[in-house]
Amino acid sequence: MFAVLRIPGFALQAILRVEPAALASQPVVLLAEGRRGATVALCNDAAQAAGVRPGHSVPRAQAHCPNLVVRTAQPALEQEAETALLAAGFSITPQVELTAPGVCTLGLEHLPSHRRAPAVDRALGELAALRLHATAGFAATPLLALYAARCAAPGRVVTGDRAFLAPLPIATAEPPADLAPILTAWGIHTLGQLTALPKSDVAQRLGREGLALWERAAGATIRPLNVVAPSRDFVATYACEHEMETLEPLLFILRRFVDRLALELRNAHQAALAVELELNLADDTRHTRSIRLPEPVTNPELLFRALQTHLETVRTAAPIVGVQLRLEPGRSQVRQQGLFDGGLRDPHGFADTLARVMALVGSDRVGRPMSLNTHRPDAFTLEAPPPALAPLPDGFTHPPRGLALRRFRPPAPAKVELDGRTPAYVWTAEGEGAVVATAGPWHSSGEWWEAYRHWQHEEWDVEFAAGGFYRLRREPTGWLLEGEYD
Amino acid sequence: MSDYVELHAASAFSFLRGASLPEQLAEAAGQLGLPALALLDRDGVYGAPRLYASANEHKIRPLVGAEITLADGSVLPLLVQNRTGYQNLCRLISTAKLKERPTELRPDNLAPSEDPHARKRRCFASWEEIAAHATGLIALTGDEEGPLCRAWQRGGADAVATALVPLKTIFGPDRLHVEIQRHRVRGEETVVEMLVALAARERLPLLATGGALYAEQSHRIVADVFACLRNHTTLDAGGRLLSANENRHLYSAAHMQTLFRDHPAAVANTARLAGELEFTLKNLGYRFPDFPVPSGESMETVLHDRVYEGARKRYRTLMPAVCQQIGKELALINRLGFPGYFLIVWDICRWCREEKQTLVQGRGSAANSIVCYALEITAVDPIEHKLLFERFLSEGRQGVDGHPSWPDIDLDLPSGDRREATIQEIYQRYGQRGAAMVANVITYRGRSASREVGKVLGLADDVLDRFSALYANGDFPQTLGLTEQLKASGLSDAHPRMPAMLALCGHLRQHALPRHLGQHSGGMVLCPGRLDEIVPVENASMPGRTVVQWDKDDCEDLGLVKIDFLGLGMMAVLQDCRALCHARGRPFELYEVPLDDAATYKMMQDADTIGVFQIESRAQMATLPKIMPAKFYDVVIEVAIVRPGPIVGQLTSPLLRRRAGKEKIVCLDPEVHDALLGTLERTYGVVLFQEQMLSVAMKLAGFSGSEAEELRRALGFHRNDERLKRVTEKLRTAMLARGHSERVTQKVADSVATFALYGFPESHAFSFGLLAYVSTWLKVHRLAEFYAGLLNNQPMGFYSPATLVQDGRRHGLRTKPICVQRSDWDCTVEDDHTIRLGLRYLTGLREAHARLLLAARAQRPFDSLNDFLRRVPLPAAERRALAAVGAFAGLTSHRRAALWQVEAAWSADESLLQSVDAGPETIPLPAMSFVERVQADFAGLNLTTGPHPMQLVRDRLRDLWRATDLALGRDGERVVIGGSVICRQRPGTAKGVVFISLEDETGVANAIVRAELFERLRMVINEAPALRITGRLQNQMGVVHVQAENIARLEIDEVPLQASHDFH
Repeated sequence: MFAVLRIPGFALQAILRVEPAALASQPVVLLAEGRRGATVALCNDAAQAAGVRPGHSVPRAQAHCPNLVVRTAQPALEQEAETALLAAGFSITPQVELTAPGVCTLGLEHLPSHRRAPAVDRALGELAALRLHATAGFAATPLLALYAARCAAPGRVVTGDRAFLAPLPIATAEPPADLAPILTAWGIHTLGQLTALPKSDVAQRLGREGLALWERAAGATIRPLNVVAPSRDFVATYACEHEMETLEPLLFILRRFVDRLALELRNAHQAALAVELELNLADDTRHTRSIRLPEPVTNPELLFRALQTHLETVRTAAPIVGVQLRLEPGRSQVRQQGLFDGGLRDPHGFADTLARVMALVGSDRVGRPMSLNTHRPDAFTLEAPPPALAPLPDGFTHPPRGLALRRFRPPAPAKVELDGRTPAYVWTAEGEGAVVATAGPWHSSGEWWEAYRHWQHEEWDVEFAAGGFYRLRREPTGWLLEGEYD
Repeated sequence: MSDYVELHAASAFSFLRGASLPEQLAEAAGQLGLPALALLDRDGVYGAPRLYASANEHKIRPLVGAEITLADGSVLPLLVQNRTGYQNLCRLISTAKLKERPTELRPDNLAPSEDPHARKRRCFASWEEIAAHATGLIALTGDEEGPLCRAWQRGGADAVATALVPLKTIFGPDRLHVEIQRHRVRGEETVVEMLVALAARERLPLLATGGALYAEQSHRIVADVFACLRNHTTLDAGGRLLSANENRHLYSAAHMQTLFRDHPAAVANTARLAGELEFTLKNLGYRFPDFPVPSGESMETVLHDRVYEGARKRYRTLMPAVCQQIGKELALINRLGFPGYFLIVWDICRWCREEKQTLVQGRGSAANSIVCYALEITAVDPIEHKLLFERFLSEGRQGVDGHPSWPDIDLDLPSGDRREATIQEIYQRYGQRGAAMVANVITYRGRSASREVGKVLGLADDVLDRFSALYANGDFPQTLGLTEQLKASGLSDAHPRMPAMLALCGHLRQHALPRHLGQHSGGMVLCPGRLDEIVPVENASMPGRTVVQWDKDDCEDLGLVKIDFLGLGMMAVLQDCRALCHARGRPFELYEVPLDDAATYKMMQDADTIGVFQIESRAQMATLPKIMPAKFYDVVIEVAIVRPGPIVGQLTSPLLRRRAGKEKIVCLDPEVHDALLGTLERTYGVVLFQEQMLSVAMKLAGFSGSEAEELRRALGFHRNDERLKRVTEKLRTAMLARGHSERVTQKVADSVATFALYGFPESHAFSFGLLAYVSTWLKVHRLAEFYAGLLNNQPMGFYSPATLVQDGRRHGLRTKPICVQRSDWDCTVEDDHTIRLGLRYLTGLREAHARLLLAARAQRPFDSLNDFLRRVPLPAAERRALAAVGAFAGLTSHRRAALWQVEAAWSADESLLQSVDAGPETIPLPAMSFVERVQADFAGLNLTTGPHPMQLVRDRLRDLWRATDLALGRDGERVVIGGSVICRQRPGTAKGVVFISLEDETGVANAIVRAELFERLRMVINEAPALRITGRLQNQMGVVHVQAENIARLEIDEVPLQASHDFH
């Protein structure tokens, strides 16, 4: 006996489960990129009720339903939902196969027959708690169980094959893309209509694929399960499609993570000793935090509360672009510090400290300076140190670079007396002097397309009577002594 | 005279580099007091005619040159010294553009993905080619992209010495100048010092240039945008690809003397060198080819003989008026030296008709000439229709700077292969370098340009999508202001990039900077010798075509003769129809069709014109019952009046009211009524045609023939508005000086502005009117042949084949489905009321395979489906497609039986079994239902030859008015209509109003949707394939519309519908 757990509209459900619950009651569609642009791939019940169908273009779908909510596929969330589905499967049996996205097949031979249905019901309940609405089908073969799951609401047991199969739409047997239009042209819309055709004639016309389809339509396929192993690494990861700037969407995602990881821990008969949280930020930095729990727990509420308490005190310097949550599994409260632990005892704490420093001085002031690709003088950005320094590029450039400039940071405001358009005398807070020689001016300007960032400079190289070569910069707001040449 | 001349400027015709038009450079140079300006565009002289045309006005001498890309990617500036030099430059560029390159010779800057053999590959010249064309040219060492600076950056002084060798060898010390530029960019001084030292060492003259990329500082933003487009990046990511500052503009002599005060000779040398450059485009040396005549004859005598021979054929009896007009025209043609031109066009038309059996008809002002009529170039009799010959040809016609302006002869040919054959014949006659297509400069003006700018600015795709969607379509003018358009696209006033977007789009809209070079729709220039010595020739994207670097206005300005070979779908229909009629014993000739056929006019009056030329659109059909055409000139008016120009100029309503006798005829204004009566009487006092506009200008402003010619050219000059503004002002001044009131003057000025919006010349309207009339006549009298011709030349016109088939059905024409035993590739006529759909309509069936089928059938008919499968080895998909649309009817019991059998066909590798003829087989599939057959028809043919799909669902749509019943409704009555949407139209002239056409089994119903309702229901209206529209019936003067009040989807998903033709 086999059971199939199936999540209808899997890719869409995977997204909706991390969004506010109210969204699920609105018409929502998931788009897929096609040859002629994006089309509706999946739609929820509300969208379907409004007349939206898979294959509709977005404008056509919106013509049916003006308040349509549109989402695009998020593989990371699908991965997460798939792991949750497997966890639900492992709560019943270790014989679990990931058959297709949103579909897992369970081998139930070892389970007494009277415990099968309650176990599957419980798994459906676990999935519902994870905000995944699944159906289940029972049958003597994996294929029939899958068909049963496809037309179950929420569960269905199949015994009489022929009567069950005959009215099912032909799409149930998943005809190959090149055969589907032929069958439609033949007027074949159900499995029964297909199996009514002589098998040999179908094989003659549609070849090996047609024969396989006919057999699938007859439900006769028997195969062993390709069993997957349960995860021993209690990790959940998510790379956001859109940056998260507020706490609420992050908590939605973490809640789903915690629910699924807690289920996996329970399946493995373990408990969480610590929670490790890592937030990847848009500025390529990370916020990580390890929360040691007072005692091992599997209760998702407690785990979530620990995270929530921590996050309410956190202010990240940049939006969040990725999340990772790891539960440290353990069996009891008994735990010993590692004998050879060295270096940073708490690297996450160090990162936390760095984040606090960043909060004090600003995210743009922590890192390694890198020059920017612009004509703007002295334009740089700060980047995280690379794992290794890149080698210098080969090649010969002319002219060679001139004298090295020691920049004043910040540049010294200056007052300049002009002789015509040429600097003749310079005052700064540090001193003053007559200019005996000049070179320039050099003009540069840029970012004219940005109303608040455009800039315009005029540069002069000057030699003072008292000695020394300096660079002067003129901006619309005044003169600056920018640095001294070596 | 100024001591400085800018000898290295580039315009926007250095595509995606220069940021100003040649005219803007000329204006700036004039304002700066420069005596001359040399335009050196990249690999071309694209902008030279425009600089030349505006140079006089700004009192500068327009010097010619070009930057030539070398194989290593560096760029060599060349200046033209004399005509030989110009000819060499043109040939050098043509060679660089046309010559196939060996694969190993790739320019350094060619991306690995670029094919060096591609027709539009990056062009470059080798040193050998430069040496072969160096006479008469002067070389500069170039700017930062020049060979010396590139060598310096790459390898220092040694590399510079090596790079100088070929330059010195080819040009010598007297024709090579070391060019220095200062743009106030840190680091450039090292280069200047290097070049100055080099010049001293090599005893070469120094030359200071500005390397101008734009006329004024404010254009730098465009140069930066172009740099991004060229490098496929955005402004944010552009970095050092963008310019460091805004100093690449034109400078005055004083500025350059200050900038180069340490090298005064470099500035002074510019004036000296400019003095040595004697060539301008005035010395182009172009002449039109002669027509070869037998010895002892002259072109004049041959033309005389051909004209009289043709006139006798056309008129049969030569009346004195005809002879007099012919004599007058021939005398003028001979005096102006144009007989060769007429003979060449005559010979092309003769070749089309006699050797290629191709229909050809002249359009445009040639229709005013009896010579053209007699030579069978045109089909409209100018004597009968009182057309003004002077509009076509007069002694006052001159181009820029006294170049002769040749008359226009535009030829309409059947679109497609037949037109291409004619173009290739011209190449054959004059050689690949003796004839070429005229260029069409694609400009940064429309939606794609703004979209590109938006992308460069990093604006979101959804904003740009909305911005693009708000552009007017087709011929209709853009009426939405730029700011409003941006706001409506979702870009708020506060957006930090709003000012930049406004500035850039405003600049591009106003100046229409060139984007790339396309080819004109059909214009060709001819030359007796080498055209590539007059203007560089390059490959067009289309194989077998070459294109010159100038557009039609440039060619006209410089006296190059252009002949237009235009493709018209309706000409192809007429030709096919004529052939079918001849084959069926019902021949007709275009010029023999009687122009007084009552049934033809009745069809027009009933607006029953689906499928006919021009007057089939919704707007035309709404006007026909008001015009009520009863004579040919009414058709001419009908063709001309439903155009954006007359609509925007609000000419339509007065003309219709006056024609209906509801308004007194006033010729423009009571003040000038008497003076203009003779000119405007035919059009009820309204200035409808361009000829009338010119005549009004001559009568009211006293314009001379050449001034009228200036006005005519300004009206047809769409490049920018400046020329029109100037001539309008001249007209106003002249009218006021002659004592006309401000009111009348303003009315005339308004008319001029209206005509710039695509007004028709009367002769053109005659040519198009004739096609409209003849196509209607054919629909009345040659129904089957006409529809067969129409269906064989799709896509064209306003309606889809599905609508045409249904329209034919309503006129008693039966369209039979595709049949392997009967159908040809084209649709064929079976009898006067029956046509057979051609195999061309079957989606997925390749023509070569269809020809195999036809060849097999020609041997003997198929006696069974297995016989067909055995003898016609088609791919499975094509067999299936034939079976699905019922093409095996007669060979099988039903479509599904055929579908079942074709799948059992043995594959090619089982040929042994093909000889085994399977016996009768039981078909396990049921026959298709009626709806399934219609669905299969639409899936395979995009139409059905059976009843209209609406007929299948009519029983459950009893509340809908049928299209045909609307004419019986009361004006103002509330009605509900429904059907498949065959057209959505939102003309820019209609203030946001949308016109929707719904088709049902009885015909087409039209609805008018207010802008507000459209905006509210935009998605439903644009996306639903069938609509249910509730509204008030407007039934006035035979024109029936529904003023929509509510619109919803018509839920008839069970039946398939055709796709709509949309214009919004």
